[in-house]
Amino acid sequence: MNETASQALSKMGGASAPLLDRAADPQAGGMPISSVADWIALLKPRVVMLVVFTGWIGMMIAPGTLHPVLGFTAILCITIAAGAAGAINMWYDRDIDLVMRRTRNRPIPAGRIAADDALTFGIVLAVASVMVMALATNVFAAAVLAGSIGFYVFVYTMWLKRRTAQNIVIGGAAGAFPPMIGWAAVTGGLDIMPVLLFAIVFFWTPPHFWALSLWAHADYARAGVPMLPVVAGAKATRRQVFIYTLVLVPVSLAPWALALTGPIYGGAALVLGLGFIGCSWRVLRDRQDAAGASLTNDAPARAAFKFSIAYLFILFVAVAVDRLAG
Amino acid sequence: MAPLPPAPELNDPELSDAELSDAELLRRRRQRNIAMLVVLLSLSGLFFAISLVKLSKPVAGG
Repeated sequence: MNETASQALSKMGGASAPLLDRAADPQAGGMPISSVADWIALLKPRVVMLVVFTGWIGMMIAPGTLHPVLGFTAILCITIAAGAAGAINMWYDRDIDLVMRRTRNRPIPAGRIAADDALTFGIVLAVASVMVMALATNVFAAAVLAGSIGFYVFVYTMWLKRRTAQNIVIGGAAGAFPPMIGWAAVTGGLDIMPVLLFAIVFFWTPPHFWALSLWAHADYARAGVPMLPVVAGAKATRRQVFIYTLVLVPVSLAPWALALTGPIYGGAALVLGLGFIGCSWRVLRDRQDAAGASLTNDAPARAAFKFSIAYLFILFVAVAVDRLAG
Repeated sequence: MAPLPPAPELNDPELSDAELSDAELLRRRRQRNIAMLVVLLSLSGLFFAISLVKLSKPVAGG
C-alpha cells in the first residue's frame, strides 16, 4: 500500500463515510458502536502517564503545600488536559492515522468514533480541565495548562508536524510543560527549577523520539509526515540523537550545579547521563549501510529508546528523593 | 472433519457495527451510560470536596 494521506482521507469520505455517520448518529440507521475503551484510547493513556508523572514531581518539589484534595484535582486536570490535547490531535490527524499501520486501528480511522464527536470530546475536556484548575488552584497554573494544550494542538499538531523535520524538537515543548504546571499549581508562579525541568524534558524528547523513528519511520514516510529519518536520512538522525544527548546531559546537571538540588540528584544525573551518552554513541556507531540504514535491525536505537524512558523516570524520581532527603 | 471457523470475538474492535450483534451493541451502550454516570458522580464529589476545602480556609481580615 503506497497511498498518501489525502487519498486515504478521500477514501474515508467515500467507502467508510456511511459507517462513520452511523456511528455519529444513532437515529441515522445504526447504533453507535464505540465502547468505553475507545473513548479512553482517544485520550492516549500511555502518553498521558508520562505527563502525569512529571507534573506530579513538579508539584512535589515545589516550595509550599497544597491540600491533598486540591493536589489531586490539579493532577487530574493535567491528566484530562493532556488527554484532551491527544483527542484533538487524533481528530486532526485522522487522515494520516488511517494510512499508518501503527495508528489505523485508532477509534476514528477505524470508524468506531465519529471525527466530530472526538473533536467535541477533546474541546469539552480541555475547557473543563482549565476551568477546574483555575477553580481548585490558581489562574496562573490554569493559564500555563491552557498554553500547553494550545501549544500541542496549534503549534505541534496543526503547524509543525506536517511541515518540518524539526517538528518534535519544538513540539516537544508541549510535553515539557507539566512540571511547570505542577509547580505553578502549588506556588502560583514559576522559578528556575521548574524551567530547568522543562528544559530537561525538552532536550530529552528529540533523542527519545528520533531513536524510535529510526526503526519506525516507514509508517511516517507512507503518511508523508516529514520525520527526520524520512527527510534527512538515518545517518543524519543518528548524529542528531547523539548531539541532543550531549546537550541534554549538562542541562540535566544544571539543577545540581546551581545548588538547587543536592548530591543525590547530581549523582543520578551524572550516571544516567553517561549511560544515555553511551546508548546514543552506540546508535551513532551502529553497523550500517552507505545510506545509514542499520544492519543490526536497529538494536542500538531500540536499546536507546528503552533507556531514554528509564532515564527520564529515574531522573525525576531522583529530583523528588533529593528534595525529600534535603 | 473440517475444523470449525473461529468464533467472532464480541470485543473485537475490528468488527463493524453491521457485524456486531444487537446484544453486543446494547452492552456497549450500557457500558458507556454507566461510565458517564460514574464520571458525573465523581465530578460532583470532587466539586463538593473542593468547595469544602476552599470554604474551610480562613478569610483574610475575617
